[in-house]
Amino acid sequence: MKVISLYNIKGGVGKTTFAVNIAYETARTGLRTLLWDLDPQGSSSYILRIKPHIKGELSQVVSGKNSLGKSIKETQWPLLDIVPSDFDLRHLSSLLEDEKRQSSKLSKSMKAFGHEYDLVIVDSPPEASTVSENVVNFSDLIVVPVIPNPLSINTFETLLRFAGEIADKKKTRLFAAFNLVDRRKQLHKQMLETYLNKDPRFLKHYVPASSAIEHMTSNRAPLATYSSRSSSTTSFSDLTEEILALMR
Amino acid sequence: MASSRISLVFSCGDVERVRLAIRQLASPLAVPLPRQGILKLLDTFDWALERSGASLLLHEYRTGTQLILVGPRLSVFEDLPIANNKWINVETIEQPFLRRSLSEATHQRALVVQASTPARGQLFQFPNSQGMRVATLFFFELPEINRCHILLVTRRGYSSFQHKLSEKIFAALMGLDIKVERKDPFDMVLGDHQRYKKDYQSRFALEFEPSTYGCIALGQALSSEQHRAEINAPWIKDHPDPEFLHDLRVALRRTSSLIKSLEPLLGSIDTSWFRSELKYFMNATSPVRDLENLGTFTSKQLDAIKCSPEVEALNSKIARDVSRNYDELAQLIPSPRFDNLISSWGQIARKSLSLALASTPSMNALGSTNGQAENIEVFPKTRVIESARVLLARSGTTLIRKARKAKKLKTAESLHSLRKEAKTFRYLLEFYEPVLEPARTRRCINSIKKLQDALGQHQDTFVQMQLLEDLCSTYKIPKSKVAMVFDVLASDQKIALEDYRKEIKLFSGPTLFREIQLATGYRKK
Repeated sequence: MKVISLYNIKGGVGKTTFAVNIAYETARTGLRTLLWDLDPQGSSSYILRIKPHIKGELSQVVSGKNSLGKSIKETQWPLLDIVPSDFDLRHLSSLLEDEKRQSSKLSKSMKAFGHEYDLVIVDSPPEASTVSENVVNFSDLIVVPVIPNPLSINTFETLLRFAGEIADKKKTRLFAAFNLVDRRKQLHKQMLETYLNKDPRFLKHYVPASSAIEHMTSNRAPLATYSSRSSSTTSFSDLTEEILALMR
Repeated sequence: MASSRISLVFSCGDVERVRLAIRQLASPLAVPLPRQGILKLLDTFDWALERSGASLLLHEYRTGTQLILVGPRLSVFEDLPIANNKWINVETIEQPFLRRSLSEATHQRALVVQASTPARGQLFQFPNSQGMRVATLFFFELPEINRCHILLVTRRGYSSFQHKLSEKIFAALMGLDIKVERKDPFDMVLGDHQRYKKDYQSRFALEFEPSTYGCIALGQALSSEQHRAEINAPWIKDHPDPEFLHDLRVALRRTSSLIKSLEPLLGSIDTSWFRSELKYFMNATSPVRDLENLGTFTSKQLDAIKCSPEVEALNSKIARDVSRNYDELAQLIPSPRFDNLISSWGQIARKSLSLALASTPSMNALGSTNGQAENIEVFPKTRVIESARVLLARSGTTLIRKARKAKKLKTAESLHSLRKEAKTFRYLLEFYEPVLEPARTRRCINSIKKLQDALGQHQDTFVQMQLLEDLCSTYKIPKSKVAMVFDVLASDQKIALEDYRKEIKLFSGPTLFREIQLATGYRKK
């Protein structure tokens, strides 16, 4: 089982969009995929039409009383399951801080069902906390969605340092992927020219800004299911292929 | 935790009320119309899916196929294009997730049809509060076992939803005064046919009485063919799957062949009228089947190669003619004449069964081994294996004679005649299979099947070419415009002839007699 996390300390950069669509694409290629919605906002769960837990089971999972496998729900798309969001996730950092070996606690809870999945995709919350440390530690690859502007690049540099400091044993690989790209804007064009195919830390494929993506929240389904021919769908498909190639 | 399923079986006279009750249970999403077709249970030859707790059902109807795969790890309901094949090659399935899941579950072995039954099926999907389709309910009417079947599949992680829904279903059915059993309908289908699960596709386990020629077995075989004709006939009327007509034709053909080759066993029972009626219905159904085959062929060509607009036009005309032929056939099946046939079918089967209780027919009636009049020593109460040897040898002689003639003449008529004789011989072998040496008999049957396939392919292409010519002249389409279809047919015919040449060796010499004698235990190795 491999773990890919979508992470950024900035909000609204497209972590959920990336998580849902990459998870759908990997399931479509035949990989048994689990999407773990660690964001208390529960947007991934909402898009996949899964009711979030109201009363958290997470504290029991963290304390080892309950298995995370019990929270798994099947979505209506084959081979794609989800651990829905839990409003108790807002307390996850403090729950983890009370435990021993806090930075690897979540990876232990995944071991119980690891054999059932080929890939776990984590939609992480926009924060730098104990939860983020766990995410960095159990991920094989972290994808950081960034909007093409200097501030986002700056944040990505900070994240790289953060990951370097906290990574336990293995070196987690971080890659940035441009999102919400509008090629009509001069700045976006410049950023793409500077980083794409030149900086190895940036994925070669990017996702353009499109209204089809915005409709994900109203359609409550992955992009490819209702807009299979849009450029964004193709981008996610290419991006997934690139990410899977990096995992091999 | 896994996606779970509940399988319920019940008898019900008023299906519409049950259907209405299900619709009222919750607010299901858009419900498609019931589809009439055949429900097939697929598994590997050693039931690998069943052992891993999964099941793969195919509901084949006229315009497509619904795949229902339910296992501990996933549930998939897919609409696939028509798949009338007897088996599915997992590697040819387009969807990667399905291909991978099936490959894993079957250990990359082929899937074969383990059981099949006519079914009229409908799908209901129940959403949760978020609008996600959490539970899927399949409702099937299964006329073969005279039951209805409900299969409720709920996604992983929704046990309470499933519990509530199943409670509602039980309450609704109880309200209609219907007694429900938690059963797999295919256990009943398999049970009704007195077949073993592991060997469903082999012939029925016939009871051969040790001291007579096999009248009881013949009665059983006739009765089962009558049953096959009876269950398929009502489904032909509403233009369902072509397999219904095919199965009916198989029943007619097998019965006709068995009565012809086993006539001595029937003693004084007069079957001449019955045989002429069988022939009448075979002839009446034959053009429909031939035209439908041609339609399937031209459709395939349209998909495979870039055809001229004339081929496309011809294809739609064939489709229209097939539909009209089915309408005409609906006047005949069912009809009082067909009912008479079924009724006399049953009478002959019962008479054959009662023959064993009366007296054993004279051994003289069996005739000679080489087709010439020859007196055989008469033994009252002859063992069935001896009658098998005599009758198989007689049929084998005719087969070899026809094979030699076909080799010499190489005409379509002589090859067709050989094909018919091979079929008769195979039916006879299959009839006597329970008392013959199993491995050798199976090998022999398989060789004949290969020969029949090659000859069948040759005959099909021959008939299709003739039909195509007729259609071209009827619809005034120049032959040159559909030349590519003729070319493909001609090349198929050539391949079939090559296959035939490979397979004919066994049937052109004394090898076949040796095989028969070994199979019947007359000659030791």
